[in-house]
Amino acid sequence: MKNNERARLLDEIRAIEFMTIELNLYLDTHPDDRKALNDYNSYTKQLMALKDEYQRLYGPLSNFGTAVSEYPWAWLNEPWPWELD
Amino acid sequence: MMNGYMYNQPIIPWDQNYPITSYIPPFPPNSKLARAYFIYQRYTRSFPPKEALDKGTMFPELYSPYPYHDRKGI
Repeated sequence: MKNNERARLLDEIRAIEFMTIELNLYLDTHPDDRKALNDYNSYTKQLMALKDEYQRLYGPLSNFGTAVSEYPWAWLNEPWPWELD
Repeated sequence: MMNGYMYNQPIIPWDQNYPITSYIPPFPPNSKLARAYFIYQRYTRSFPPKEALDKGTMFPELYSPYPYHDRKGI
């Protein structure tokens, strides 16, 4: 049950992160499109909040630089993010 | 809008949920024959995040999967 919620949150992160990279690519060629920029900023804020929430509840999403770790070093705890279905 | 024109057909004809009418801007002056051009994209709407991830693009106008054929060799 707990794992379901974890997988759901990770799916949400994947989908929102995809929107940010799509808008990143679009904005590279349309830098003054305000709607695209607003949507990019809005999805980016959502993404940061979701990643914070995930990492607070389940541990780091990446091996360095994205989340502080409790003792002992949390990155070794399984499952790693890519091991969730 | 001097030389441009409205493109009234949905860009994704088989997808009734995403009818789009777009303005196709004119070609730049001195455009040459037999050269490749593409239309400058304009962001109007997008698929919702999960659908976008599933389809591989958030832009309905860029979504054009190959049609599925049941017969062998086609």
